[in-house]
Amino acid sequence: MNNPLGTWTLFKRENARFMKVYIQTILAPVVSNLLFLTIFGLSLRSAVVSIEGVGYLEFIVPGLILMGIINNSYQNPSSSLIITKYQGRIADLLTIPLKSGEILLAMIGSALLRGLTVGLITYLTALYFVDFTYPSLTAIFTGGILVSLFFSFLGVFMGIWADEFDKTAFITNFVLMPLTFLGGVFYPITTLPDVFQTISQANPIVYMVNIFRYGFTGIEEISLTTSYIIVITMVVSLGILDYYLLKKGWKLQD
Amino acid sequence: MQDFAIQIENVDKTYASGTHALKGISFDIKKGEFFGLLGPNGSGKSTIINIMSGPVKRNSGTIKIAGLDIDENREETKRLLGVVPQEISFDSFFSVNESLLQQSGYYGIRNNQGYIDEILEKLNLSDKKHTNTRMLSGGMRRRLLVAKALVHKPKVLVLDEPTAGVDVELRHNLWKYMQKLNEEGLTILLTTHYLEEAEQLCERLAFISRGKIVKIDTTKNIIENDKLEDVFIKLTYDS
Ligand SMILES: Nc1ncnc2c1ncn2[C@@H]1O[C@H](COP(=O)(O)OP(=O)(O)OP(=O)(O)O)[C@@H](O)[C@H]1O
Ligand SMILES: [Mg+2]
Repeated sequence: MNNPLGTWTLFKRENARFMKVYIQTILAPVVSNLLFLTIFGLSLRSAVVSIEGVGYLEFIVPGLILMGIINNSYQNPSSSLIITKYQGRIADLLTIPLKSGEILLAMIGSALLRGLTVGLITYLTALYFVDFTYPSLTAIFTGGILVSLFFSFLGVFMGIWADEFDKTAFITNFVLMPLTFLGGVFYPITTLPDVFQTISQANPIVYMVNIFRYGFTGIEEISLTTSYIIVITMVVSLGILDYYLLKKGWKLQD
Repeated sequence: MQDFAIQIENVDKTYASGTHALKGISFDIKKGEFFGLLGPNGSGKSTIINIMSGPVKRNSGTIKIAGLDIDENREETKRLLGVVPQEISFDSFFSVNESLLQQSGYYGIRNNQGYIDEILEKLNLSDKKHTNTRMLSGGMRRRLLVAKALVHKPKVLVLDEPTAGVDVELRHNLWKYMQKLNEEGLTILLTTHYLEEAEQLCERLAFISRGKIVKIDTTKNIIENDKLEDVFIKLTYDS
């Protein structure tokens, strides 16, 4: 590593940024997840008796935790980079002696911290409503980290690409939200009509939810091996893409 | 070779918009020199500086800082440079002191509060140490940019209009400080639209017009027969 203290400084700076507005970045997502939990969970609890022998709350909580991880891992680097562009500070980032890999590491580190913190708090509050049996802690940890990594990398990509909040908002509302909701957060994919099941196979979030939820419930809608292969491949490819774009200065250098 | 702080050879730049900002620029700055780069608005001064420091990519040509090629030694040459950009921008979350500590951190330096205090003192910013950067006046922000460029003790200081918007008295203070740093061995590249500033401070001057260097000579030779303002106008508007 060329500049560990520099990387650490940028990591701390990224954290300070979201912690200064923690009500919006940490508390708000936790509260909205609690709302989902109360509304969907408690109201549907009696209607949907159980899914593959698991209570409905137990089924949706991993999905909700994942939503918190997804949104916050994605938001942190994308909004940080766009604000940096707005304030005309991209030049500063390009002037300090950090390698592209180090900038990426600091941004991803902070995105993981925020995403996983929101996930953890959502989990802890959900414990009030549900008891889990934890069939696989490995799936919970690896699943959570892989998802957070993927969306952190995606957030960095969006932050590099977009020059206005409009563009990320577009992606958030018209791509990310539908994919998340259609990714089996609130229902099992297997209950969908065949056509939608086939379409769902193209949705990366389905595989992420599958791994993570397996850890909490033991339900394996899709083969775990397949899911890991797909998710890891996506994480690695996106990471490499980010690194390459930063190194080339794509959209950042004039 | 080791005697040069900056070597710029045949640097060409066309922006994506199509503007041909630099047309084969070449010049050298010796170690320890106080060098002025003068030219009208849009002549390419900031473009050269931004290529040296990182935000802008060049199309061709080579640049060396202290004998090191900036492509082969990107991080090392970045450490050698202290840059005061023309555009004022700050991370609005932090105070003056926090932003200087952070800047030090980016350069891999810690525990330099003493040096930071010294810089703040020299730049008349001590009483603003704990003020949020958003609440500084324009001239104070400009001086904070100078402070940020100095925290890592660069070997070459690049100043893109550092005194724009700074009042007369503080401008003179800033000049004195830059002269002192230069006497202590710091190489300085200065761009400015205040010609008397260039005349007072710089040993050598380069004139740039529409992306080309039109003259380089010692300040003494340049103002031997004419006023600097007349030379400037003749060189940069005649062509
Ligand atoms: N980011 C950019 N994208 C496209 N064109 C640019 C960019 N920056 C500068 N230019 C153009 O390149 C030319 C040189 O600009 P530059 O900023 O280097 O001039 P300058 O000598 O620093 O001027 P000033 O004295 O006004 O600061 C101008 O025509 C300008 O419009
Ligand atoms: Mg300029």
